[in-house]
Amino acid sequence: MEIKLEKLEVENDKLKQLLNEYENDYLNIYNELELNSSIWEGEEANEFNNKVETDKTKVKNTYEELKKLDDVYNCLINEYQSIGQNIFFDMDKKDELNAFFEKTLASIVSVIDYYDIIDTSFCPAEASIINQQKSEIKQIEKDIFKIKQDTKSTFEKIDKIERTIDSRLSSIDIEYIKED
Amino acid sequence: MDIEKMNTTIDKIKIYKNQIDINLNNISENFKSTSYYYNTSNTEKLTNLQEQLKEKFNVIRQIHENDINYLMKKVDSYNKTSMTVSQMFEDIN
Repeated sequence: MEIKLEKLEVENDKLKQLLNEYENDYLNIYNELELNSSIWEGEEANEFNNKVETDKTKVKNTYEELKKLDDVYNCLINEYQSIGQNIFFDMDKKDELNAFFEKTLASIVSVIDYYDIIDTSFCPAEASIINQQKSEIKQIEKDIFKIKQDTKSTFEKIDKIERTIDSRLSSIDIEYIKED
Repeated sequence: MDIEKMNTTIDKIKIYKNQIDINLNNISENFKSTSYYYNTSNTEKLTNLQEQLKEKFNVIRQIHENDINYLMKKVDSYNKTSMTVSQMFEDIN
């Protein structure tokens, strides 16, 4: 997956502007066409005006569908803001990454275990240095464990966001229209 | 039919239609950019919706085009009828 949030925000702002303009423009057209009913009378005029009303509904529904799409964009932008501006990862590699963390942690635990079996009873000065190193390595173990947990948590968050987006996209039903 | 007002209406609708056409083109371009910057397992679903909307844009453009053409034909027909009637009165006189 790849998400460039800053660029999406810019495009989303543009879309909002375009939707405002579109609403304005289609309302203007239909206001003019509705005014037309006062300057042209008769059976043909009535038929035309009825068609205009039907067409206006089609256009208005299209606008509503565009607004729903805009809502989806708003949702994904808001949700992803807590994760980051640029997200780039092959989600198929999640398990591989987790396995890498596990292997790394196991290696660190092995190293710590070696430190535990070192006899430092005869060399207090060196013992101090060795104990210091062991503490540092234990801290590294904690840090890597935290990174692993944070990464897992981020993946879970991304999965949840994508399921939400999927659900919202699935709920948008684009009505088929044709010119009469 | 008030021909002068009708012609004004047609001119205004042409302007608004032109603006809508530009607007819908810009929205279509916006769709492309959004799909480019949001690339996940949902992108295909999003793109399908965008394509359906773009097809609707074409229908909407045609609806407005047809409305303008229809009104212009009506004005044309009215003008021809008026001229014919005027000529008939002139001939009588």
